[in-house]
Amino acid sequence: MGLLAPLYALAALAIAGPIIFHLIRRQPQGQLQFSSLMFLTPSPPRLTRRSRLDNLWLLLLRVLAILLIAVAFARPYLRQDSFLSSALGGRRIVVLLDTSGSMQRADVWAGAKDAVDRLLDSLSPQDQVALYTIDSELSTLLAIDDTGASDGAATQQATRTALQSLKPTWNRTALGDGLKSIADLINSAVISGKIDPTAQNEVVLITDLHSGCQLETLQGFPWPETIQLDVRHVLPAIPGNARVSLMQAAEDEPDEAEATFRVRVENDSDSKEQNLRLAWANSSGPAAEGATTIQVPAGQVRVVPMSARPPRTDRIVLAGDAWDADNAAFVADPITAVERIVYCGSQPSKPEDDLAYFLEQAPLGTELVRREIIRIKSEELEVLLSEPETKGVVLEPSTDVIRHTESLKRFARSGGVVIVCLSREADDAAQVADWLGELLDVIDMKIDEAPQREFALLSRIDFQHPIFAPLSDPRFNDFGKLRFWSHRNVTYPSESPLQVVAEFDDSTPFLLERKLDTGRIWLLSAGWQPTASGLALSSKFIPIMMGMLDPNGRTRKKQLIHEVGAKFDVSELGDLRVTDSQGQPLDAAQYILADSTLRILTPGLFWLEGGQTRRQVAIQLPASECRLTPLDVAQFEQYGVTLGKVESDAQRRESLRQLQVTELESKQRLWQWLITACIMVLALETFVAGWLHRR
Amino acid sequence: MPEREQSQTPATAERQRWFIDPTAIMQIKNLTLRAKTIVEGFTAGLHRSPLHGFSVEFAEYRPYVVGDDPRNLDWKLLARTDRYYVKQYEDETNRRCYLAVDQSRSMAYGNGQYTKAQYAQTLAATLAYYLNMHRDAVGVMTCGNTAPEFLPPRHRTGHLQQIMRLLGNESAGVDSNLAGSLSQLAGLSRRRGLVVLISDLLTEPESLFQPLGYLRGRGHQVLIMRVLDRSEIDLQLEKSTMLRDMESGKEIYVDPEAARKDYQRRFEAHREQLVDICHRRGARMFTVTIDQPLDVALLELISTTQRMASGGAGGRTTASGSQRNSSAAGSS
Repeated sequence: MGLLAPLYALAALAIAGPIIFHLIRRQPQGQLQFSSLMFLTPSPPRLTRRSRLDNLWLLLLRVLAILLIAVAFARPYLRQDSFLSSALGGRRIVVLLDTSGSMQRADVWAGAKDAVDRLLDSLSPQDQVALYTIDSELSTLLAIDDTGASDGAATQQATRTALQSLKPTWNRTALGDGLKSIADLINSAVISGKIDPTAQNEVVLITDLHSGCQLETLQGFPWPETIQLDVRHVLPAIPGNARVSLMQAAEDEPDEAEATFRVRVENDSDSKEQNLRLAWANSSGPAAEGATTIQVPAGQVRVVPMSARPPRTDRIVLAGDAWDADNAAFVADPITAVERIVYCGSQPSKPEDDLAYFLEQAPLGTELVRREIIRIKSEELEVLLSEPETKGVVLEPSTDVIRHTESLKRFARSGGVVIVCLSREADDAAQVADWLGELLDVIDMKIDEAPQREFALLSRIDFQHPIFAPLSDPRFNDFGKLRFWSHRNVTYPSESPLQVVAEFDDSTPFLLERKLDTGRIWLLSAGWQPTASGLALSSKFIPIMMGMLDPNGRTRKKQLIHEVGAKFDVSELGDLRVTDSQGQPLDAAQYILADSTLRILTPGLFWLEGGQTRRQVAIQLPASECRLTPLDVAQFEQYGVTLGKVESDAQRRESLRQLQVTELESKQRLWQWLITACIMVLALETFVAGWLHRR
Repeated sequence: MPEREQSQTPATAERQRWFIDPTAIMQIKNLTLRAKTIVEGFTAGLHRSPLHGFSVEFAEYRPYVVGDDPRNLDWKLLARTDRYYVKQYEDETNRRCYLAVDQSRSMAYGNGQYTKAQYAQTLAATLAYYLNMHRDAVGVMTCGNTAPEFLPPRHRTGHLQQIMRLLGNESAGVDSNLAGSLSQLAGLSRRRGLVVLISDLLTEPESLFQPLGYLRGRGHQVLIMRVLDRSEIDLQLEKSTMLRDMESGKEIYVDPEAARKDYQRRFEAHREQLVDICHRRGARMFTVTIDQPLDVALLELISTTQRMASGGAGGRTTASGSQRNSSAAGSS
């Protein structure tokens, strides 16, 4: 005899009700009016019978009815051992272990390994196990295809062995993609017949499931209904994490050497700690000076300017949060090249008439290139053009300059930039025209002064050209305020190697380009000094000059900070050698070099050396691995993933037994007899109660 | 004069079969009709009663004495016997009857179908109707009210309707101040007559001693009709229950099995006290339970008045003369 729903048997306690009701003596009900009580004395109820049960038979019948109902609801059945047999088939468990950067937290990784161990312990020897890991991509340790041919216990042992040597990486988590791949792998294995299609397939995901897991990629993926996902969520002992990231240095800093650094500090919403410390540091530890304490409440962001960078520091470290491995923002120092721009021309006393004055004022340098403007005399030109640091020449045509035509053409062919500016009316226009024709390889070139009028405007600008392309946006392409009070008319045959980049409104060219191999010669038919035009004081001046001085500069810019595992180009470094910030060669397992692209698999500051070039890169932990607010497991259901629970062997046996017992009980249906008996008892009780009442 | 309580005799019980069931009578809503039904039923069956004779009829012969009115001589006898005899008739007079009806709260108790008050009301109405039919002056006083109502005895057209209206009033009685009401009646009734008190007398017997003395002092004949429910006599209650006094509102719990013996003993003692006081004051008490026919009470009234008349008390007067129904003869 057994009970299918033994908790219902607790209803038998309700027999206390009738017993209590029978113990309570009925108080006199109501009153009776009587004419006079003058002959009566009160005769109080006899209390001696208060604790005695009245109407014992009625009580017994009521108790019996309650007991019958309680037992009937408990669904009793008679045991038949022959019916209760337990034979369980094997399952296929695919273990997907998260090995992303966030699993580097020691307690989380230990918890994940424990979870795998517990899972393996709870399985029966018939259950087959496949093991995959997921970080930025899915990795196979024990393929699902191999489980078909292997013994269940052997796969479990292999899993334990593989787990021993497994370590988390620093990569980001592409959990959505990994789950999609797993589902596809199981489906393809079933379709190809490599595994038994009748066996139950269950995926156990062991992860810390944080907000940077990229589950969004599951959107729209039709998750197979036959595969159940059991998520074992591993949580750290201390919740919450803060992260620090470096922001761009302020652009208006007057001196790059004094550039201040600003960092962005984010604190997770589940963080318990809000007092954080920021400090400059290097590989040996934080610097003594410059530390600052900030308060960042949970779920908020602060942008903090850092103090001046102490010497020999290369990172900003955050302290005080739950996890330290993501707390460094590396500062890679760019190797700044020095380029020399030579100015050779007239040198008026008034600045507003001086071309070089405005070149000197303009910030023409970049993060990687520092440009120096030097004024020279024409006789120095020859020497300076041959020096490698000289990258550009700005000329005003004069008789002294004309002599260096060949040197200038040679300079341009070797990649230099020559800017010829017709800033003033020439004394001998024909001579200048001849010289320019020789320099630009144009025959029959003429230059004359444009007719005097109030001002000229630029009317045709080639916004496809690299110089004006950045200004093509409607917010910047208004040149109506750029006025020219004097300019020269340059005429040349239509069959010439010159390209007109911009024209005045009288259809004469303003800017002409002559390409010579890798170099350029630019001809400006008007000067930028304020006495001739408004160009030098215009916001367009610097982009135009930068475009002329460095026509290929935008492609040369190198990114200095990369994510762990991100590919970047190292083609300019021939025989690559990667060293860490201490100068020690990097272990070959920590980077992948293939097809001139490099992937570094660990965060830190590294030097890349190849040939004569040496540059520094900073490898940061992916930002998604720092946003560690735990997600709810129910998120999977939003993406249509069927969640389930991998039952332990004991639970499966119990479930099977429960099923069999339910079936046995539904066959025997003892409860119906009990209910019938209860109805009969109640009828008898009604009869007895009526009889007692009438008596 | 038989100043004692009369209990129901076997002969009365034999007659009771011919009386009208009071339950049926009580179904009649109109009080006058109810009284008329009882009285007519009573008179229709009167020939079965041995008590005929309450009317003007021949009583005896008396020798003629000087001073008698020669018109009263029995001339036929004189012619036959040559003796002078005067024929004497028993003549009724116009009696004054005061019906004092108790309307205290305790009278609201009844066996379920009707209450003692309703029974007493019907009884009073019956007596009034009967007496009115016999040309007696009937007055009514309600007792046990805060404001007792009094209708002086008269015999005139419409007076019976006034009596019926007064008796038919639903009055909310209060504590039974029976003694006060009787004293008041003694003060109001200046001429002697018959006082019929219809009450359950559930009051202290001693309190009645003085007012009964007043009434008797006025020369009234007093007939007390004690109306009781049978359950009041022997405490016939079905089960233990909480009893509430209808007059005082006091509540006590009573187990009838345990209390019955003591109740009956005390009730009997109370009754004996009442009998004793009535005896001492020369009043007549008659107990009727409300399940008894009303005719019995009427019969008792007639019997009492007859006995009173034959005993020479109160309203019995004799007058010689040939007129049987002389109404002008001197009353009390």
